[in-house]
Amino acid sequence: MISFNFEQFNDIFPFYMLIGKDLKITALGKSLKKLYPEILHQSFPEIFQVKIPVPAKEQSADIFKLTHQMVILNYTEDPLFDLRGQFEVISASEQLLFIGTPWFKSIEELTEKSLTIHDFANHDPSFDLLHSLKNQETISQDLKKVLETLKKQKNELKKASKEIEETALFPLQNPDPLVRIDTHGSILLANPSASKLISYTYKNRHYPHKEFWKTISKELQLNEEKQSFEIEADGKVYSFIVIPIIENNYFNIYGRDITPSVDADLALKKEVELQNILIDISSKYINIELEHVDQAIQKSLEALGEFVQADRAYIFDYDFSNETTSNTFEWCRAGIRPEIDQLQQIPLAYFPQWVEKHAKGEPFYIPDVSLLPDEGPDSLRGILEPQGVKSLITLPMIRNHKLIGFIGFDAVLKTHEFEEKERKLLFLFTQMILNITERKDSERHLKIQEEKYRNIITNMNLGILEVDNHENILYANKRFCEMAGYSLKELHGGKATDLLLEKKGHQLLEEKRNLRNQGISDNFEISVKNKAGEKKWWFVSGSPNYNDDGELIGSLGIHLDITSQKELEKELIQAKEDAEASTRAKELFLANMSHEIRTPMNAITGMINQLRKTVLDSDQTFYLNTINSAADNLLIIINDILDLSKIEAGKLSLEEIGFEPHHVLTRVMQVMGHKAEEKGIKFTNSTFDSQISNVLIGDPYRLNQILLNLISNAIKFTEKGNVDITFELISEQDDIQNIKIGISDTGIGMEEEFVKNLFKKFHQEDSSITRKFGGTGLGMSICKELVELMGGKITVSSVKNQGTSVFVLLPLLKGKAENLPTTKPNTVDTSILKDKLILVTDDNDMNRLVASTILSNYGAKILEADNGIKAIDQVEKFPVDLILMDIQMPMLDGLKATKIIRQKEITEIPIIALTAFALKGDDVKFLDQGMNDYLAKPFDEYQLLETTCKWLDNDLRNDKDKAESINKKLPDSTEKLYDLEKLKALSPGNKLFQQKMIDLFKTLSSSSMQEIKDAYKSSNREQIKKIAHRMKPSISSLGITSIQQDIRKLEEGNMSDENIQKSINKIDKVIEEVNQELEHIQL
Amino acid sequence: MKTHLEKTIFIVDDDPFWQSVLSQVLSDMGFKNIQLFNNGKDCLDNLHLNPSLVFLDYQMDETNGLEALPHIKSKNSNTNVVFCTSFEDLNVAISAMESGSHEYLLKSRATKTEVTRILTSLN
Repeated sequence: MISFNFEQFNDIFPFYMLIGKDLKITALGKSLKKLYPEILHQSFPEIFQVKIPVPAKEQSADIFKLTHQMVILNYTEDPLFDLRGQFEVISASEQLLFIGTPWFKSIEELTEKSLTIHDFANHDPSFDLLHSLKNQETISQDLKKVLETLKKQKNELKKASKEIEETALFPLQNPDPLVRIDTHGSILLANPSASKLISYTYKNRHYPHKEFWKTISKELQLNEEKQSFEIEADGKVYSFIVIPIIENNYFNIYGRDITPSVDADLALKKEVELQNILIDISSKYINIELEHVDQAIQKSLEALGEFVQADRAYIFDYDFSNETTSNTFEWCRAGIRPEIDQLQQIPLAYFPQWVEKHAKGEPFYIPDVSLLPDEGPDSLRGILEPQGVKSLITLPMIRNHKLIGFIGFDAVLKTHEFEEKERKLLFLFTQMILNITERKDSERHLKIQEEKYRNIITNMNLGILEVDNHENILYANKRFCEMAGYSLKELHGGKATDLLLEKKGHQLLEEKRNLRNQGISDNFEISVKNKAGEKKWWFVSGSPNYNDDGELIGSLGIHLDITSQKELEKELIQAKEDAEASTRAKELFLANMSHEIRTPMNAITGMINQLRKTVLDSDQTFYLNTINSAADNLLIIINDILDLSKIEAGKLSLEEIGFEPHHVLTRVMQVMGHKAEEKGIKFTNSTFDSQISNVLIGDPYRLNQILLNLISNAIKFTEKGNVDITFELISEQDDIQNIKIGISDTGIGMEEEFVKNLFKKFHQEDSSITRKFGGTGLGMSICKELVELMGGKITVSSVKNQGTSVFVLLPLLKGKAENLPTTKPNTVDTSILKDKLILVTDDNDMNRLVASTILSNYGAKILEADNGIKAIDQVEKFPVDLILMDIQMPMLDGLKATKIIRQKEITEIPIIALTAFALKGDDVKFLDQGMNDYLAKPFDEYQLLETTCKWLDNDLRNDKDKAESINKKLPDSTEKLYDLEKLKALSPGNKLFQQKMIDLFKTLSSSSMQEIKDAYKSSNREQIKKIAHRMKPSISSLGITSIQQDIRKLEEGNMSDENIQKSINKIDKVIEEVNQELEHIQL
Repeated sequence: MKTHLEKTIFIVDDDPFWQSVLSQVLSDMGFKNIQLFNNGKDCLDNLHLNPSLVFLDYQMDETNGLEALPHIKSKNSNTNVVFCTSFEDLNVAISAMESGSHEYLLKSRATKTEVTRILTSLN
């Protein structure tokens, strides 16, 4: 049997619950206790609801019937807390053990309860599963996030580039003609003013609109170079700038009416130039590669700086977390000193006005530094002048309402006034730079993200598989290939279903495909075979896969190998089955033991009584009394054990009869009085409350048992002083009196810790107590159970080395004199037994002997049978008056035999069951099967006589039958040498088999006898034991009862040499006789 | 799928008497493939015959029952093992149950009913 100490059990099942018969929770696993300490001692059905199996309507399930199945319990105080496990009845204590583990759906629920892995048993797979699930979720979420980010950024990019395109090109309102043509001169786009042009004059020829662009396209080149031409159209002169967009295979052409401005002033020309620069820059940025961005920014700073006649152009980043700003780009006119290296991480505090302006989205403009107030070296002027700055303008870069930096232009050589127009254009430029830097940032971010997730996907322990709508494999990551055992090459284009699945999996996957078609993602477990043919379990998280247009193109699966978890699960189930097997073995043995112990006890007490009737000298009487009291003690112990079993099985029923409490007291005083006297201690009754009703209703025998037990304990553990018993009336309501019985001693007392465990079974303070004082350790436990059955309470207070007081509080119904049972005269009229024919049926020789001896002493005639078949046979042959029928017998048991007898319409013979099966409380069953009464073994002489006489007196049959029956001959009852019934029963009617077994027995027994003799000669005791052990089944099978005992003793091997010799000789002789008889046997 | 009665059954015991008793009971019940072995070693050597059920004696000269049991279970965990003993000893029976035996059979109690009961419980 597996036996754990408490710590171990607690480790293995940290969420167990022990539920008492009263359905109160009596113990908790450490983790459960940590969670809900308050549930201890509460009523289980009140705080837990059985969710699975679903209880029948309007009633809570009988949890004692829920064993051998999986249950899910819910703690009603917390609807989110479920326990999953199973109930086991601990038959020894009739408690219910719940073994399980919390049933969480996610790890968050778990952490919410502040549970950690240490609260779970090491073997508990649920935590691992939750973790895998959680990992899965996290990764799925991350992947989703990447996809979302990608999508978002893609959109943003699209939008941004479109915006740039639109700002840069073809504003429809633009009064100047703008055209986009492809390389063949076809017009792709033209703004209204371009569309309005009708006639072009080019190289002295006139062309209509479309014709012209076709002609001119032949002269344009699709390369990096910007081209330009002037042309007359509709009487005006236009200057066109052609920007080839190589990637898109077209030209953007920007026209400008220059008719009135051929001689126009510089400013206007400058504006055109500025616009051209911007157009140039912006178009460059549209499709620029990221790695060229820095270069492009540098170039555009230069172009713009030149244009606004600045001497230095630069870009700064703001870093508000560190309150600094740093120069990132700088262009300087030739001869101007670069400042970029000095301008890193400059505290913002140096430019408060500057930052303030930028924060509002306004440019910061100083037309002339020398006009600033002179406020020392830390003032703005103090900073700018040493750099030689005469004028400056800085424009904020604001993205998503966040100030990220600024662009600035310094005039160093001379002051420069930045005109309104210039400022506006610079502002436009700033926006463009913003766009490009934003694009750069987001692309970099995207790249990092992509890198990060690519790393995760490549290195993670999860296999990723992408398939199309027909399960064809599109992509599998490295881990998936490892899991499947196939290379990517082998997988690619193949069908995952064909490569990996067994038949059952196909169906499952078909179901999943249907889900994906409906756009549903889910998780599932599937068994697969890898390339090597090994069976694996995978946990799959599958989701539908869409293209950019939202069409379903297949599905994406994330796979985790959970084979080891699965195996763990299997092992766990195995462990559970093993535990169940142990329990079954124990039950089986307990049932057997009850029978096996009571049978010999019956013989012992029976024979003692018979012996007592013979003439004995005083020594013999003393020995006999000693044997008798030892047997009585043993019987008490056995009864204790059986009582406890009965109580635990709920099979103990209490009497409800009237009794006199004072009489009970007097009796126990009498019985225990001389015990106290023997030990030289006083035994007193200091109080008996006169208000206690003369007659109470209850079970006086059990009350007596409780008191005897408590008092004998008190006496046992008291060396000097006294034991006192008190009866007090505590309170009275209606018909009920609450009686408090106290037993106090001045004995050795108990430690507080021990008092706590006092009522636990098999518990004594110190195992040395057992040796010193004896006892089973069951007494207190039984007392408690009995008191509680009576609806009462038992309490103990004790001080080590001072004494112990036990109080029993019992609510008892008041009764009246007429409730007292009329006492029967304690004599039985045994004369009725004379010449009665009584059939004693018992497979145990000793038991038969006891009953036969008693009954024949009173003149009864005896028939014997050692099994049901023989009993039926006897009943048919002889006029039996009464049958004593053992229940457990080989061949045909007493119940079946009775049934058959009753079926033969033999109803008049009383049948009295003899049973050691008190454990099962089958009395009702006996009576149901047609028995009239029963006697529990071991019975005493009086009980046997009383019962048999009662039923003989009640004789059910007619007197005339009796008369004729008496004359029939009684059978001869010499003991048989052997009995082939058992052998025959193994294969009824199979004479060949029987003959074979007999032959086998002859050969084997002869050789075994030789071996055993040899072993004895060489004093090889081990060998003797072994041979005896081997011989035992065959001797038992042939029913050679006379030597069974000897064989068993040899097998046990605790005999003296002399006795071994005796036994061997006896066995040898008997076997020889048996073999001789078997020679002549007729089957 | 083999029918119930075609399943292979091993009887492992060094007592020919017991072997005969048990094999008779089983063949009366209709079992056809009953293999007898005299010790644990022979049984282990023949596990490739894939027995569904093994009646295993506790006390044998070469490789006793308790030693053989884990080997049988590890070779094929689906094999049912019934422990046979003439010792009416709780510890032996329980050790057997704990090592994976599904039932035990006391030789002194071996009747057709008992064997049938055991076989039913194994089902």
